[in-house]
Amino acid sequence: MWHQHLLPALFPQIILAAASVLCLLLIAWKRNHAVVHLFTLLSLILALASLGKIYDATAVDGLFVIDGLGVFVEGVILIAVFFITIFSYPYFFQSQIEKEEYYVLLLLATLGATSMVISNHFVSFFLSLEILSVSLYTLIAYPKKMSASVEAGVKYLILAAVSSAVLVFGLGLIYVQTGQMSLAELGKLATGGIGANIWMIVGLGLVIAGLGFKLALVPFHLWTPDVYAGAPAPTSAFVATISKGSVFVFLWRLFSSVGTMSHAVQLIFVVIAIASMLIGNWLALLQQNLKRLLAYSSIANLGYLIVAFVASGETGLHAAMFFLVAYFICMLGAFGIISFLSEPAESGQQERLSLSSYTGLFWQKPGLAVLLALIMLSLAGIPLTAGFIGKFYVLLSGVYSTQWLLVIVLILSSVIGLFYYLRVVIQLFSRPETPVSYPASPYAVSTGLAFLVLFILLIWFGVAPGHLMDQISQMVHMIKG
Amino acid sequence: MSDSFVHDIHLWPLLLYSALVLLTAVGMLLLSHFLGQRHEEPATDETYESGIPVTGSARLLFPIHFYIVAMFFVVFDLEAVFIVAWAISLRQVGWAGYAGVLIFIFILVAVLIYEWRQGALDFGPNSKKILKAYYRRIQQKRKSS
Repeated sequence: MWHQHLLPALFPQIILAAASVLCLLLIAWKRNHAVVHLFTLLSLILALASLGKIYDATAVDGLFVIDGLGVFVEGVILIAVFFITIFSYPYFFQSQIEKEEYYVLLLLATLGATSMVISNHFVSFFLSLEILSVSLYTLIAYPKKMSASVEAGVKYLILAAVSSAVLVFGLGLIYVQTGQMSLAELGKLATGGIGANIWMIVGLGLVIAGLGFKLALVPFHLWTPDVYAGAPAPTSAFVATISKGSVFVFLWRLFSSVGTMSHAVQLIFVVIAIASMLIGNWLALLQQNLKRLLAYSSIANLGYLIVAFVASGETGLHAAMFFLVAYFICMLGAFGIISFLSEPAESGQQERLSLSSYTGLFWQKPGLAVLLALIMLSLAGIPLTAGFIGKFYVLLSGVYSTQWLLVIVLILSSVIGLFYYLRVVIQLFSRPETPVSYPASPYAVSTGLAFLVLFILLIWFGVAPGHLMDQISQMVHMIKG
Repeated sequence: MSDSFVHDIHLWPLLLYSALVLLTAVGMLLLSHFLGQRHEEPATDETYESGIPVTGSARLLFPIHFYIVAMFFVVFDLEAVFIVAWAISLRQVGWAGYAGVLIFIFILVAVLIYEWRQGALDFGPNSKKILKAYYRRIQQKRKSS
């Protein structure tokens, strides 16, 4: 029961759990927004530093597997949360509500996400999923005087709870059939042939539906725009990036342990991917609300990610990881800019939602406008940005696995997507009839620095993707070895 | 999983079962719709209070402390259950389990400290606060007069 060698490998989780309790005590001792903020940043750095120590360790326990994939995504998640924490400070700076607990919940949600990516067992997966979701309900409804946020929180609560129930029912049915809850044991059974039967089919179907809800793939995507639009912008960034990325890693682990995908399962994912790409891009065309536009864009992007998932194998994993990193950078930057440009209002932070309120941003704040334009181009997949390379690898993995239908739909839907991304860019650079005033945000230095880093990463991974790709392929080899 | 995933199994029991579930639910709703009685008397839509005429709305104002007490009870009671679960398997889980339950209790204490500092444990009217507000008011009156 007691694996001493696993303890150092779980240091990031231990640090995050301890940090959230200490953060709570810090709040009890003295309420200070700046101190709690710095404490959160410090504990994230500490967790990231402890990750470096376990980078070349492959340890497997009943509940967790610590391999290259897990450690890589853990690192990406911790860095992303670091950015979100930086964006949260100016966002909540002028808010009248008690804002310190936000960081406790942020740390807890991160704990859930980082332990999900190393889960190797239904129990550890479900536990970390619930830690993540329960923190997210509160994070979404955090500005409790904003009715939009509370509405988004309740919507997310109901839908996430229902999808969790569906998911756990599916996991239960798989357990009924196989008598196993560990992915490693399931993998062993699968090579001997599980014997497809009705329980297994229904179970896998329910699991796909549950995970589809969490990933906002198309038949299960309806909650996404409302939740993104209502949640405070830093939380939207969290939902868009971290909760999606960590669930995707578990999806990958589940289906790669069950073995080569059977035709039926593959067909389901092909249909889901096509629907997500087409409907996501299609619905984004008419959006006048930037956050809703990003929500539909994220649905489409998850569709692209599923293309790499269907391709599976080493190329698929390479492509998925690169695409995920590029997508993380874009979403963090976009929601960071939205939260940075928000203004304090009576009930909470008033965000600029409509596209028209960004008209002529370039003539007022050229740096932000250029970054937002670059993010849009990256999401559209224009060369010299990380998004292009990510989409290129996804396309390549589709070609390698001869999924021609998926490849064609990917290209077509990217063309549709180009239209609405460019519409945002045009808004940013056109001269407004009446100049829109943008307020000076407090504590712009750290946020500005974060934007600069995102800008550099976006260009760097777009021009010289070799560094990131080397890192990813190193990690894939560790999985095999 | 074999490739002949869908072929060698019978799906019809599932379909039949789903159809039966649907049929039962729809049948119950339809039957009660057509066969059930309908009343249109003056008191039909009134709240049923054991035959006594309604005395007022059910939307009363009462102190939120009741909710907090109930919530604390549920939270801490549930956590006691976990400690009992540990106590049952004391010998099997050994010192690692002991360390685990210590951490668990420490987290409980931390939460209790947090709640205490938040003022969540102050039930009922706070006499100090009331007195303070009272004196402030008296002083304001003196200043104005």
